[in-house]
Amino acid sequence: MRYVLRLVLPRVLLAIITLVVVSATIFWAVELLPGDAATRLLGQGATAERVTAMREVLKLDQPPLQRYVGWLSGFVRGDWGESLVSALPSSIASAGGRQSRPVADLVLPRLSNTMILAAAALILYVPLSLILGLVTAIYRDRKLVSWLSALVLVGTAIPEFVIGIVLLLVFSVTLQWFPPLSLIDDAQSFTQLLSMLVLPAVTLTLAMTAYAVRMMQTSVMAVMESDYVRLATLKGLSRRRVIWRHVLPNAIGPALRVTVLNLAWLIGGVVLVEVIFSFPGLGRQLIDSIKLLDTPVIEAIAMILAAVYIIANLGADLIAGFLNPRLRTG
Amino acid sequence: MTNSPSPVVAVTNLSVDYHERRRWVNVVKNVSFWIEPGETLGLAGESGSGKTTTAYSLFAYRRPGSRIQSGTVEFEGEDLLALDEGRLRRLRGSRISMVPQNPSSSLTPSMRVGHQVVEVLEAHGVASNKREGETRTFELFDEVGLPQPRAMFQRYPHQLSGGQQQRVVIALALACRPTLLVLDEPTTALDVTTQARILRLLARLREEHGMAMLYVTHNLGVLAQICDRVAVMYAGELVETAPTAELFAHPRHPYTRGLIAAVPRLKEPPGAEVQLRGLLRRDELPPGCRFAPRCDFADPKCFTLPQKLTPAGDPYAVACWLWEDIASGRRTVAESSAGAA
Repeated sequence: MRYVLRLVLPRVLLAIITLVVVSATIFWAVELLPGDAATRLLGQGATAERVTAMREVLKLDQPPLQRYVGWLSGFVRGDWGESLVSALPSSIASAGGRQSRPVADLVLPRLSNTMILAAAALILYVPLSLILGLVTAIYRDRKLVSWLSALVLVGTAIPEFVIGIVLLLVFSVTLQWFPPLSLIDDAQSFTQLLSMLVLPAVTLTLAMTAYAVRMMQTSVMAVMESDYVRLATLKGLSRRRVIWRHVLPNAIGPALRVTVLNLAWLIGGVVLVEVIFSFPGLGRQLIDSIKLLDTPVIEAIAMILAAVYIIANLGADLIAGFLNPRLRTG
Repeated sequence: MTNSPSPVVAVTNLSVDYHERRRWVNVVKNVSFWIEPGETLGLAGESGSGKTTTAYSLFAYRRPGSRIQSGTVEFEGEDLLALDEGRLRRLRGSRISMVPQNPSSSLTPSMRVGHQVVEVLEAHGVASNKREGETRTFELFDEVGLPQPRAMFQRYPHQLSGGQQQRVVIALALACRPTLLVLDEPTTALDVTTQARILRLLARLREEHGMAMLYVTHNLGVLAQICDRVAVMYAGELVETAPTAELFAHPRHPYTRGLIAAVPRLKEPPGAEVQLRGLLRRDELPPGCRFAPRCDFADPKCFTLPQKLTPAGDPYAVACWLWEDIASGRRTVAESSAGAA
């Protein structure tokens, strides 16, 4: 139990510190966006009094540090502020009776959509990349496998938006197997939901798999050439036992680490793929909000993405730690 | 070749190539030797002389990117190089076992050391169930001098010292009571005191079990302590074999002479030892004697005349056509070749 604490605690603390630093960076970066939120909201023609009144409503009259602390403590408590533009344009015009919508209401459904997409991609991607990596490493002498490896290498070089567009053209436009737009909110049944998820999930999977297969392949090959695998072979163990007990446990650590780190990449990939497939997730919301300069929403989404990134890193570290007896037992 | 009771292992005309920069490079050439039951043969040579490759060929094990070009490895009457994987697997680790060079990298890091011994016992049917395997492992750990065998069983390799790791590897190698133990520089990675303890342990185990051993090392001091007979290898070829005492007293091949003369001695001031000229250059081997470019006695003919290990006055076998002249002092350091270095 003590080694678990020794392994986990410092990393969790580090993750929290990183998140705080990231939150400050996000806050200042968003503050640097051109124009003042109040003028942006009211338009260029607004009178000075209305702008001042709006600044008070938005707490823009307070010093930046105070606003940052207020925003962060609100964020931690689940109060993510209110969207600047989600209300109807007519009601924005009258500053007093502004119909505002909490950022959380806007972002959380999108977050759950993105999570469904990411989960679908992960379910495909983790086993696929580990198995492909292992198999291509073990049977690397066979012709078919070297072709597969070459294909994987080419795959590494193709960006996800190319894969996405090609899949969209082939399967939605030409073959019409899947809907071109993923209007997930309208999904009536599970099968309908699934058919909307297929193309975006496959796009993400393909884009990530190539790299992860390569990592697993490299990792397995390095272990297969190690002294201990050679000794295991010279002990007269069956090939199967050598692979399952001596190669796999030692190769999967580094590969799984990369696999989980790819989660972080997934976050970036999701933004593009969601835009391509009009998938109503966080990524598309982020792009929309940036266009509208809806600062509270941008801040909230950036924080969520950063948190996922940091948690993915933490997870990768912990997995590596638990798989490696050297780290586990100190 | 042998007039003794049938040897445990007899290697005949073994040649091994390595794939390097898109071409095959010969690393072991026409090597022949045998080991008798209970005998310890030392295989000596510099790094890159092919001694480790030779040692692994006793398991019919080809390192990735290598091929056994020709030869036979007869173990208890069977040619290992002609056996299929299944038959080989039954011999490896049970009848022939390995103590590799680097104990710290030779144990699987993710596995408790006890289980690494148990799996050998199970693979070869020495232990039929887990309990039996464990009990046997405790006995083996005790036999190789590991303290608290039960506690050791649960350890991971990184929790052991280098000496303890090597003892685990030796326990592993002895688990099925092999008739032939191959040791590839088993003490090179250890400090001097640990090295001495491991050597004493090996001598004791050999005494108790009467197994034959092939001891590969570049350390002549270690060879002198543990081997009955020594085979000296240079650039993939055997250049001399002789019983240990004779070899050290009257080495016949110029290379062996150089090796023995190069050992620093306490009585002499540092630097007084003779140094072998030049370095082993695999890419510039002459068609004749491979040692000729570095040999102080070499004659122009040496560079073109291939040398074979031939009887050179019982109990020696030497691969040098000039050995008699050199031994009798008729031939001295050739001036022409000394200048070429």
